[in-house]
Formats: sequence, C-alpha cells, structure tokens
Amino acid sequence: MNVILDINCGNPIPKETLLDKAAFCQIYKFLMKDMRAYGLSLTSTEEHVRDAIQDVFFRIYEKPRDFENLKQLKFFLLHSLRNRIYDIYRKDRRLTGLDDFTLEVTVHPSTLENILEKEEQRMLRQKVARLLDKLSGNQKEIIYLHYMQGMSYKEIATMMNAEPTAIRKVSSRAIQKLRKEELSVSFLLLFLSDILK
Amino acid sequence: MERYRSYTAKDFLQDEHFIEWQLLQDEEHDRYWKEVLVTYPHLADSIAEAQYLFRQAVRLNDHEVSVEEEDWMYAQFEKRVKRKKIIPLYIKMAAPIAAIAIVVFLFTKESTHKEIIHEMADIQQIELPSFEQIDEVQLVTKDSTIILADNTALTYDELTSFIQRPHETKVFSKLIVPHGKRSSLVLSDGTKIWVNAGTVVQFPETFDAKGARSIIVSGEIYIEVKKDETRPFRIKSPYYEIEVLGTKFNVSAYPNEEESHVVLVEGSVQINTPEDKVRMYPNQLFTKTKDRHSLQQVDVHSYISWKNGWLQLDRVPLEQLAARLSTYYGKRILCDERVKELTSSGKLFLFDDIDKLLNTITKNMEVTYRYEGDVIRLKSK
Repeated sequence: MNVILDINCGNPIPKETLLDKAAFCQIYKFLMKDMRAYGLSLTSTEEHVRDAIQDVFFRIYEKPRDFENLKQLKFFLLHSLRNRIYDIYRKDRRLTGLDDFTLEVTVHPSTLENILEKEEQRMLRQKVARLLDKLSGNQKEIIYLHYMQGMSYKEIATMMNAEPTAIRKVSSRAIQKLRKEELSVSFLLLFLSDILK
Repeated sequence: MERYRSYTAKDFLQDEHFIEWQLLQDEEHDRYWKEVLVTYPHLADSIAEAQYLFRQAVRLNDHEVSVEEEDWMYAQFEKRVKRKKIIPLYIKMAAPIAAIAIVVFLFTKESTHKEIIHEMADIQQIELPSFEQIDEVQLVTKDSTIILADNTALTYDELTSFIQRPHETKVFSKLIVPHGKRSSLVLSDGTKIWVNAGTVVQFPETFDAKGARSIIVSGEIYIEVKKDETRPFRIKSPYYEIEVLGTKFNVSAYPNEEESHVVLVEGSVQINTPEDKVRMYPNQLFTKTKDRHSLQQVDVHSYISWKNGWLQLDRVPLEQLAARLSTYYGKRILCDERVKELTSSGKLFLFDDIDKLLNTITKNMEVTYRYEGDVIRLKSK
C-alpha cells in the first residue's frame, strides 16, 4: 500500500495508519525533510535538530492519534518541533541562546534557464534577499513558514503563540516596509531622472 | 499598474512588487493583483507562468537531504524505539496497581512544553521532567543540577553541601529519580524519604521554623516523617492533601494511573479530599479513584518492600504484577490471557536491568517473555 499517495489526496490519517510500521516509515521519511529544514532555520546545531525531530516523531509513535490529512499532520509536527527545540534550549542553561531566525535564499537555475539569463537569475536572488533582509527574525520565520512550508497564517499564529491578526499585521507591516522602500527608491529615481534631464 | 500592461512572465519575475506578492501571498497583495488581472485580462497567462516559475525556483532555507541521511535518521529512530523507556504519562493501565503506599496524584494532563512553576505555598503542581531524557538520579537545586549515583542515600549534611543557601526556606530543590533507579534522602527536619523509580520529589531546602512542612511528590515514596507536633507535615496534590504528625507511610502517586493509594505503617494520617476528610490508622490502605475512595485493612509489608530493592509478593496475579512492573520500569508489559491469572509469592528483586528481572520471572513461573516492538509480552511457556 502506498500510503503517501493516499495521503497526498488530502485523505484523513486515522491513528491505525500510524500504527502500521511501513506507513509510519513512509510518513517519517516524507516529513522529516521539512522538519529538518525548519529545525535548521531555528538553530544551526544539527545535533539538537536531529534530537528534536526524533523526540517529536517518538511522541506520535507512542501515542498515535487521528489526523484530518497530511497538512494537519505536518502542522502538528512542525509545531511540536518548534516547541521541542525551544524546550531544549530553555532546559539546558549551558547552551547559548537560539539564533535569530535566518533566511537563506537560493534560486534553482534549472527551472529558470529558459527564461532568465544567469545574470538575471542572480539579480532575482539578490532582490528577494534584499527584500527579506529588512525583516526581523520573527517576520522572517512567518514568511518561511508560509512560503516554504505552506502553513496558513492562522496556523503560524498558533505556532508562534500570537494572535492571527497580529501575524497578519506583521506581514502587512512587512509589505508596507517593503513598499515604503520601493516608493522611496522610485521617488529617488524620479528625482534623479529629473535632475539628469 | 500601467506599467504591467505589456509585461511578460520574465518581466514579472523581475518586478519587486510581484516578488513581494509571491513571498507573502496575503490578502492585501491578492486583492491588488486581482485588480491587475481585471484591468488587464490578457496578462493571465504570463502571471500564471511567472507564479509557477517563481515558486519552483525561489527557495528559502532549502536543505537537501540525501537518501542515505533519510535512511540513517529512520534507523536511529527505530533503535530508539527499541531501546528507550516509554514515559508512563501516556500509558493507561488496565489493571489498577494494588501495592505501594500513598499515591499522590499530581498531574493527569499531558504536560508538553507548558511548565508551571509556583511558589511552594501555592504549588499544587510540579514541573515533571521528561523521563525519557533522564537516565541518572538528579538533584536539581536553584543553582545547579547534580547527578547522583543510583541508590544514593543522601543525608541532610550531604544535601546542604550541594545547596548554596541552606537557610532559605522558600528555595526549593527537586530530586528526580528516573525509571529503574531508586534513591533516598533526609530532609532538614530529619524526615526520611525513600524514592522509587519514575518519581520527582520537590522540597524546600529548609522547612519553616513555624507552620506546616510541605513537600510535593509525583510518583512513589516511602516516608518516615519525624514527629513534630508544632509543625504538621503535608504532602500536597490537587486531589487531596495528606497531613501527618509523625508516621511511617508509603505514597504512590503516578500521574498516569487512575488510582492513588496511601498505605499507613505507623502513626496517624488525615487525608483531606475536596469532598471528605478521612482518618487513617496503621495497616490500612486508602484508595482513591476519580469518583470514590475506600479504606481497607492490609498487610503493609508487601506494599513497602520496594524500598529495599525487592517486591514482597503474596499471591499476586501476574496481570497485576506486570502492571506494577510497567510503572517501575516505564515499559509496557502485557500478559496473554493464558497467563494473566498465574500468581506468584515471595521476593522479587527489582534489578536495574529489566531483562534480568524478566528472567527471574521466567525461571520461576510457567511464563516466557518476548519483545514485540517496544512492548514486552508475557506468554505461556
């Protein structure tokens, strides 16, 4: 039985599925990647991320429950992972604090090679990086969870212990900040172009 | 918006406003770009293409995971499943555990990342450690965490040598005893506590000179309270509070269990539940479940022998024994139908190594055991 195919259709995942060893293995390998990516965004210490991932999976292995679909399961796992990583740092006072959330932007060349030149691809990456650079760690995390992990703003609010409206405000604050920058840049250009005429 | 009129997909990919939209995907941007599409419907294809390409190409924190790493992680997970002891928090015991003195319930809810710490005076709950993380007996003081050898008996002098401020009464320490281990300690008033596996005891470094002496327990202890008529000794829980003048009794309060028990060896004890006040006398067993409680006469020694490192059994059915051992070792031990009713009597040593213990059982009974995943199943030979 190819469980992943079933799950991708947005089918519910009853706890019996989690009790099935083969199915659990598939789910584990499928979602571990996302968890690792997110974990490494929160802290650069690989060991802590690995431990946290195992802890989180162990918990649903021990106590399986029903999930509405794969997306909900993923949300549960990412949420648990975040908590677990914060716990690890909170409990051991010897560890240095968690790093500020960082975003590393990459542009996959193969997708764009037909439409953008290498130089243009580089420019795109730069634009994205510049836009995101201006954001705070929390704002970056919000954008990451939304863009890369497909979490809804409501889910992100739950994960980061904030009101959904607050999260939305942050993202629109991000836009406004970005837009202000853009506006100021374009005003500057207009101004310059006037001068240069 | 004008400038978009003759845009191609490539142009969109280089437009900062478009990039913003792709990264944020929120209402405000959605509305704006919907307007663009309404104004310039011919742009639909180029925008769609640009969107698709953007999502495919632009990645944030894109960490590759090789197949080898995937397999390795899963292999590690399987190893851990086999090896790690399960936190009893998630196990519901089918059969109630008969033995073990006072069981003070402290938690019934799963406590994950929420930790609740209050001043001792108001403490009704204790911060439970994650027992799967802990292999050693730990003494957690305000300033540090000290690892202790198994079966350490801490005298009060030794305790104070670990504690920086032995005379502050509102400062608390915790003794954490993981599965398979035991410990004991002496408190500032001379009260002795034997602490069983899977237990946390929270106590002030010094008791107040006046007023009550209070501690909090989650798990199992045998306690000999030093008599002091001016300072009642209290063990607190959300369900009841045990008040003691000077006695010897056993408390068994595992958070995963539905029943809690108090067995009184000597002296007198009053148990204050929300509904009732119960007075106990020696050789009595007080049992409380959610709705009711009961009091009965028992032979106490079978309930307290654990503190000497063994269980004293008197015709205990295997099912019950398995349930008790499950709690001590933090591993699920289940019985097949055919062996459930088999009884055992005598001394059963509680080895640290659960396999040694299981071998003892199989040597003396018509029973064998087998690991099924992380569950131990007892079946007939």
